[in-house]
Amino acid sequence: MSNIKETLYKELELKIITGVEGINFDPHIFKYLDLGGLYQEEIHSGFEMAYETHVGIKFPTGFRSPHSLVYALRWDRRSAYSLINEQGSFYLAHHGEILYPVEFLERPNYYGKKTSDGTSMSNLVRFGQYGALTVCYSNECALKEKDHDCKFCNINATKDTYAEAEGLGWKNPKQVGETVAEAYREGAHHITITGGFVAERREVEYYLDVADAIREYTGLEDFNGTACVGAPHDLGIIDKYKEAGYRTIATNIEIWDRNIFKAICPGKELQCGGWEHWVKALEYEVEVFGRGKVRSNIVAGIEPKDSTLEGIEYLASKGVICFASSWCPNPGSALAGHRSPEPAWHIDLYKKAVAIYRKYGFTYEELYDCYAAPTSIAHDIYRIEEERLPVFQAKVA
Amino acid sequence: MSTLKETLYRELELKIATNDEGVSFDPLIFRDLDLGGRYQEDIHICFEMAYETHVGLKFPPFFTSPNGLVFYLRWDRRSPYALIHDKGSYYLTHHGEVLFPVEFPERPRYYGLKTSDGSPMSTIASYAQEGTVVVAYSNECSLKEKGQDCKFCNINATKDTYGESEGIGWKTPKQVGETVAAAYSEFSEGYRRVNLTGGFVSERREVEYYLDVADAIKEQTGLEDFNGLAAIGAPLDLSVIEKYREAGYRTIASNIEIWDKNIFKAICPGKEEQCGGWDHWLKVLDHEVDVFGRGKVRSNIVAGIEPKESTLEGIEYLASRGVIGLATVWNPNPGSGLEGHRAPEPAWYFDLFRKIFAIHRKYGFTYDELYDCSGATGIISDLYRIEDETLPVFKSLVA
Repeated sequence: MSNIKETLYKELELKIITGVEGINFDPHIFKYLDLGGLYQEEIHSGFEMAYETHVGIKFPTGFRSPHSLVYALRWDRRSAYSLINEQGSFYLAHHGEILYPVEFLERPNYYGKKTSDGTSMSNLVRFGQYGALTVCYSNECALKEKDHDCKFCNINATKDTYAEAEGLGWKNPKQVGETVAEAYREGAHHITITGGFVAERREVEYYLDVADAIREYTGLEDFNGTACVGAPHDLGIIDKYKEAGYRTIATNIEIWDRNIFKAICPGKELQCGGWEHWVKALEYEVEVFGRGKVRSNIVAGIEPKDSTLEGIEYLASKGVICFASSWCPNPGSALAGHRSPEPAWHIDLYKKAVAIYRKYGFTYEELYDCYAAPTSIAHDIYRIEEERLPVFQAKVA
Repeated sequence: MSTLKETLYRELELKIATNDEGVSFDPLIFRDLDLGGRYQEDIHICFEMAYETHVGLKFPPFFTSPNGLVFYLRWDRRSPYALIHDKGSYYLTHHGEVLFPVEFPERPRYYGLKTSDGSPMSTIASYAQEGTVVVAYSNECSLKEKGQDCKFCNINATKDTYGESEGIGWKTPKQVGETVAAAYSEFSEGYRRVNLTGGFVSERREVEYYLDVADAIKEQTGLEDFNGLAAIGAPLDLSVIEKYREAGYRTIASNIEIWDKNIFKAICPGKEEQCGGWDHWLKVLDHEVDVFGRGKVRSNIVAGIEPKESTLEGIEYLASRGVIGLATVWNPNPGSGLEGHRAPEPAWYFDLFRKIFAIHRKYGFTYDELYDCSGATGIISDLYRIEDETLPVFKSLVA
């Protein structure tokens, strides 16, 4: 393995570790950082992933390692990893020992603009790096009405904590269309529409209206959109998303073990036809959208690893790219106070998951098109293995 | 709250935290401790609870806090808690700051004796403090034959690691009877009990063994009621339960492990598929109460795998049926299917134990019932003894 790859894998391990363990810092270190100006601030459009809530205190959404891996910044004051500020520069440290300098992510221009109705675009569409955008159309989930929230999820608690303070709410299709068009003009080229369940599962009309608005404002027939939806009872609805212009679709199964799924995702079990129906929906989505155009996700660390890998392999064999994301037991979720497995557990899982994607021939472009966060560990492994990161070009130059 | 109670609650919080996070130490600190002589050594009769295995390195199984709480010593070199040795004394520290001095328990005399067939009694029955003797008749579990071990359990891995090096194997009823008799001769009447447990036996033949062991204990101790607890898997035939009672066991335990019936299926596939499943397990516990009586039946939940509300729902339901439901801190241990996972935070457990204690109080379970079903070193037992001021430290204050 080349030195650069070895270095990148070391940075990737640290990215996984800091994703699981979080990063400690004194919020005052950002006092002189131009957050909301030069640098991108975190906006709680869906979930609080920090260990503690921090209303009114802005943090950067992430940072880059020296070789350009994008880290999420998950605040946890108990972590052995920390961010420190020394003479105007920021560093990642471990037990106080500096590991390397970091660069915060630049704010996209559209974050400073407003829609025609005067709404800040930063509150409508989140920028996820590498040209990827996410709209969390609804920052609440109707499953709570029957106390059926997924046990790992804090979308409703996050809304209660941040929505008013950050001015977040339901986004109308026109707002989304205008914002996506603006972001696309700046170079963005993928959009995921997601959000909590809507009462009576009325989200389909919304997704179709949003697609119309995006096409209208961007002028693009294929706007490279991912519709992230709960499994519909009527599978015929899936065809409508395709007809509306979404290139890819995502239905997150969350837990592969069908029994643990029942316990952890009671709403998805009781209100969406259950685990079998969820798998059936994914298989039908492949029929409609095609192999490699359907994504699912597992919250990794709640069930045994064997089960998660079995799910990723099964779904891959059906043409579904199933991601795993490290479980962060977050504030307000029913599993707050639990702990995610050790970083080494997650590192091993990611390596095995990517080996499965490669075995089934999924390409980087397919991964990119179907996932909301192209900064995932799987994306990074592809970028490292295929030497797609700018650092490889810099070496050649 | 009295100052002593406050101090004890602080020690209890540390007991929970060190059980959850483990305790770091350099094994060399025990070089001059007379382990296996004056002080009791850890023997792996069933499970390795440390984060790492340590074949050939002897550790003490417990230590006591200044006010007499018994802490499990669970080795984890990553822990912020540590044991240090300084000028002949041992201390518990946190991030290097000394919290308090600790004492190690003395070795019971029977550990130095042998059975009539020459087996060291220390490998037959381990001493769990305060008069409790634990016999793991079998240090393996037949659920592995079908790949159906409970996912949190490392009994088979522990046997593979330690069975040969520590001379642990199947125990005959006679060996058990002689060892229990020797142990009981050291402990005061009314303050001794034996817990008979072990992995599943092929074709569920354990019942004959339990009956033979009860006969042997009665014969060797001369006691009709020897205060024995039979920890068993739920039998398919409920009438088997009467046999345990007739054999002389005072209490019985069938550990459900996980209350959520769906998570139970996933985490305990053997108990689901070979023991009639979760619903049958509840039926068995109900029948055990019919046979043994209210407060004479125990079930345990490995806490931290399922959501807390589920565990508490189970404890409350079981209590309403006369079963003392307990919870233990989950230690994802080496060789188990969940190795690499992590248990919840200490604060999560502290809250859980407080709530379980409140449920036990609400349903009127007594300390003596708790003692007979589970011994004296569990967190709930500590809570009873702190609240009721029955720990020895309260007596020494009065004196």
